[in-house]
This record gives sequence, structure tokens and C-alpha cells, in this order.
Amino acid sequence: MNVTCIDRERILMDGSAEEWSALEVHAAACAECSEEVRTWKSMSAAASELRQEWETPYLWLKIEHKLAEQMKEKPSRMRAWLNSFGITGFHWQTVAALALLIAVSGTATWMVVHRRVEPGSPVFLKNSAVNDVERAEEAYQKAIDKLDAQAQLQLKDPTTPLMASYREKLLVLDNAIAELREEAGQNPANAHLRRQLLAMYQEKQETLQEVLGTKR
Amino acid sequence: MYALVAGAVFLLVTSAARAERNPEDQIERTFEKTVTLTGSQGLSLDNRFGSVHVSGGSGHEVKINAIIRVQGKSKADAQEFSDKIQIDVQQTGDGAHVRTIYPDDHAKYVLRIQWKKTSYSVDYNVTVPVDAPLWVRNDFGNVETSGVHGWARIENGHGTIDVKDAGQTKITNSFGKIELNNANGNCVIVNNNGAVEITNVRGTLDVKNRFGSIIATQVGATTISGGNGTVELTNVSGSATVTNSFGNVTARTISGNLTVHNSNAKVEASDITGNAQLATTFGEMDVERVAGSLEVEDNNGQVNAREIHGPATIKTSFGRILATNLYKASNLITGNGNIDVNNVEGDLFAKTSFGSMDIRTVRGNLTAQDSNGAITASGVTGDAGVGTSFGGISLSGIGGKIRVDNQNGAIEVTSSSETCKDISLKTSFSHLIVRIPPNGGYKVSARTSFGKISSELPITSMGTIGSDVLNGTIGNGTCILDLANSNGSIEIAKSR
Repeated sequence: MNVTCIDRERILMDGSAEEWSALEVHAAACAECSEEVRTWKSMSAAASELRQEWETPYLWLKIEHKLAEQMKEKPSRMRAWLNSFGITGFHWQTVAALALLIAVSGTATWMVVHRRVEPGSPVFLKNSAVNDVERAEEAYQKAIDKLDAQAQLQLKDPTTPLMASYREKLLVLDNAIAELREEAGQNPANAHLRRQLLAMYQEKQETLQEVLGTKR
Repeated sequence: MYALVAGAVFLLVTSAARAERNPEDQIERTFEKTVTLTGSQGLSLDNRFGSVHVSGGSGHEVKINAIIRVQGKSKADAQEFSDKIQIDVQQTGDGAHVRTIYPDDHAKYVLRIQWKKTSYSVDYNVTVPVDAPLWVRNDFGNVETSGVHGWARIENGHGTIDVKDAGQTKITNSFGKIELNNANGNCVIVNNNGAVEITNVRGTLDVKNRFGSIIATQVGATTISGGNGTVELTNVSGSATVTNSFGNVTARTISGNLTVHNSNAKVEASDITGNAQLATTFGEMDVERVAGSLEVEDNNGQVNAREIHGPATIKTSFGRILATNLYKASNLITGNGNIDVNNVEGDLFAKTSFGSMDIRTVRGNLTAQDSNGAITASGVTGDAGVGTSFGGISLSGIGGKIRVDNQNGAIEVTSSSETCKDISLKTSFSHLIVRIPPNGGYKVSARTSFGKISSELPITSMGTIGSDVLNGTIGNGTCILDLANSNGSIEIAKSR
């Protein structure tokens, strides 16, 4: 593969291993490219060394692993039997949960999540407010969990690409929620973490509503 | 239970509103440092909690301003924790490297007991030389850069990324919106679950977004890979390729070729200066003003096509095809839908199984195949070859040869040719009418069963003559007029 100086920036940004090799061959005879490649590699190496690792640095790997595990799972006989009769519809409690969540939490969380964060906005919640927020999150999550339980009947063994996609999205959201909850546990009054967590809860709620709506 | 949720959510809102800016248990301190870069040196910045703002400035200096904020059980706790947050700045031959070191990075499980309820955030405001390479990594906070023209790599986890007036840039985020405005180089954008909005990229653009919408306007050659979100692409100065699913795709004003692979959603495309290759499933397709060729493949969706200047091939199943002004030879194929075409300036091949066809003005030859639907065609300058099984066929204004093969439907054909052209019509269980020029010359062969044969034009008969068989000539007998029916009448009339 032949590369020129014109290709340099593209390869530095997103080049394949083969393109990198070709660029290094070219750079050996090109002073300008040689300097750029050297700088890039040094920066990359330095940045990587400075990079901290945390408890959940491999979010995507975890998601992929979990997806793979779920793909291997076979539906239980009971689930298959229920599905064969189409007994996967709403219970009245679910309808009630949906209605309440839409009417009350939808508006409220929208106000919090979509509140424009101006420079100088509060960085922290007051400590006294954190307990209130945590109780609210807990109750909110319980309500969402009820929807989740209903939706799982359709999601565990998805029969359409749409359901498979919903399942993947919910897995992504669950991982994000878990990560944010963990961080919020260590940094409890950090307003950004709380806003992000609320945004994830809200998106999960909306996604579950879509799943159940699809069934309807 | 649900009343609890309502109450809890109310608390959530009111608690957020009760956040205060400078309560007594908060500590805020500022870190400032200036370092000088030379040559092609750049800046890397690694933060975790808090916002990062980087702007390009004149000169060679990197000016770092960080505000460290801590809230604890008491001011003393906050102060103690704050003192342990370090801003580490290293300067090497490659440039300046900045990172935030938080106390809980070390022995966190012990320290957390002591600092339980301690919250913290570090916000950066950094100025870098305008052309310096930039590497920013953050996790829980918003990132904003402006006026940094060197190559930049911006990564975030949970927060927005807003990049303005950039050079060649790669942006990666996980859960948050990405905005990019004015980039003077090639750009790569990767998001996981958040909207992406891009405006004015004077280079190529590559966007991947798993669960979120993508809007790109005034960009160079573009490749988009999305999913579960809408894609809107406008004013592309080059070719564009879009792959998406479960979200509508809209592409307008593409100065090059356009390729779209969508599924389970609609595709709209307009003003394409090159070729367009569009595919979707379970969604409508709407395309207009394509300068080059058009290839459409839809599965279970209606296709609308207008003003197509190159050859067009449109295939769908279980959907209607509506086409207007196709300026080159075209193929329109659907499985179970109507075909409605107006003005094709070239040959037309149209095929359906369970739908009707209405074809108007074909400046070329027409081939139409149906199974269970009626076919109406008018204004065909060339030959017409038409077949169906269970539907009537009505052809008028046909300038060339006519061949009709029907099985259980009426045939009504009018030839508009000044001179005679070969005509071959076949049906059963219905009547057959053909109108031909009065001055044309035909060698007539007409046969039916359980019906009668009549002619408005004088026919010189020869051979076998009966009520259900007629062989003879009209005029000089130059062209063939072959009419076959079964259980129906045959009528030969003058075209007006």
C-alpha cells in the first residue's frame, strides 16, 4: 500500500493497522510526516500512561459479554408455553404504572433533565437534598422495574429485529444506570451525575413504554 | 405504591431546586498554571468529574485554570478532601499533559468511610495555542472546545460534547449529545446513546451512533452509520453513504452519489447530483430530482419517485410505485401493489402481481406484466407488450407494435400509428376490441369460440369463413393483425 502526506491526517485519526504500517514506511523518508507521526505516537503513549482506569472502564465489553450470554440463553418451557398462547399482554397494574409514570414523572423529570445548565449552575445538591433525591430515585426505579418485568416477557426471546434492538438498548441503559449509580454513591451530591442518572431512568422508562406499546 | 412514586418524583424536583451555590459546607479553590509549547507540541487533558472548556488562543502558551469544588459533611471535611485533589501537569517533549488526581483513586474503600457524603467536581478552563494538537478525556461532565484548529481528539462518557471552530477532529462519547460546528478538516464522530448535530465540516465526515439521532448539514463526503434514530443529512459536498435501522433517513442536496441502506423506516432523498442507491424495508421511499441513475429496493413499502434523470430501477414488494418524470429507461417492479407512472422518456418495464397499472406517456417501448390486475396505458410512442391474467387491458395512443396476452379480461386497444404496425391480441372469457387506422393495411387472422367476430373496416376474406373464424386482409395487408379469443367476441373498429 502506498500512502502520501495527503493521507497522513486521515490515517492518524482513524487509519487501519495496514495503513499505519504504510505511513511509517513513508515517514521514514519524509521529514514532515516523520515528525507528525512521532508526535502523535508520543502523545498517544503519554496520554495512555496518564489515563486512569476505574472500576468500569470496559462498559462496552461488559455489554457485549452480557448480550452474548443472553443470546445463549434458551427460553424456559413455561415462557415458551406462555408465548405460544400470547399471554404476554398488560396487567392492569402495568397500565396503571404506565399512566402514572407518564403523567407525573414524565413532566417532572423532563424539567430536571432538560433544564439548561448555564455556567454557574449549582455544581452540588445540598446534602439534605441528596437524601430526598435518593429516595425519589429508589421509588422511581421500583416503578420502572414493574414495567421492566412486564417487558421482559417480550424481550427475553425477541422474535423481531425491533425487539432485539430494544433489548440491546435496555442493556446499554442498564449498564449506564449501574455505572452512574456507583459513581453517585461515591460522589452523591454531584449534580451532573444526578442529572445524567435521571436522564438514563427517563430514557429507560420511555424505551419500556415503547416495548409495551409495540406489543399493544 | 404509585402514590409513593408521585411523591418521590415531586421530592426529586424540589430537591434539585434546592441546590445552593455556596453553602457553608463547600470549598472552592482555583488552580492556575501556564506552560509554553513549542513546535508541534500539544496538550492532553484527563479529567473525570466536572466540565472541561478548551479554547484556542494566540501565542504558544497553555493557560490552565481549574476550579476544584468539594462539598462535605462539614467545611473541614470538604477542605481536607479538596487539599487532596491534585492537578498534575507534566511537560515533556511532546507537550503538556494535564490530569486530575482524585483522592479516591487510592485506597478508596478506606477513605470513603471517612469522606462519606463528600462530593466533588473539577471544572477546567484552558487556553491552548490555536494550532496545537489537543487530546481531551472526560467522563462525567460536559466538554466544550472552541477555536482549536489543530487535530483534536475529544472523548467523554456521560455528558455533552460541544466543539466549535475546529480542525481535524475525532469525537467519542457514550451517553450525551455531540455538537460540532465549523470544522476545517476531516471529522470522525462516534456516539453510543445521544443525539449528534454537525454543521459545516469542510472535510470528510464519518459518524457512528448506536442509539440516537444524527443531523448533519453542510458537510463534505459523508459516511453515517446509525441505528434507532433519525438521520438528516443536508448539503453534502461529495458522496454520502447512510446505514440505519428503525429511524427515518432524510438526505437533501447531495453533490455526489447517495447510498442509503435503511430498515424498518422511511427514506427521503432529494436533489442528488450523482447516482442514488436506496434500500429500506417496511418503510416508504420518497425520492426526487436525481441527476444520475436511481436504484431503489424496498420491502413492504410504497415508493414515490419524481424527476429522475438517469436510468431508474425501482423494486418493492407489497407496496405501490408512483413515478413521475423518469427521463431515461426505467424498470418498475412490485410484488403486490399498484404501479402509477406518468411520463417516461425511454423504455419502460413494469411488473406487478396483485395490483393495477396506470401508465401515461412513455417515449419508448413499454413492457408491462401483471398477474391479477388491470393495465391501462396511453401515449406510448414505441412498441407495447402487455400481459395479465385476471384484469382488463386498455391501451390507447400506442405508436408501435402491440402485443397483448390476457387470460380472463377484456382487451381494448387503440393504435395511434399513422401507418400500420403489427398487432397481436389474445384473451378469453371476455370481449376484445381493437381500433386501427382506417388507411392501414393488415393481414387479419381472428378466431374465437362462443362469440362473434365483427369489423368496421372492409375485409377481403379468404380460406375458412365462419362466425368464429375470420382470415383476410384489410387494405394491402402489410401488417399482422392477430386476434384470438375464447368465449368472447372480437370487434375490429376504426381509430378516430
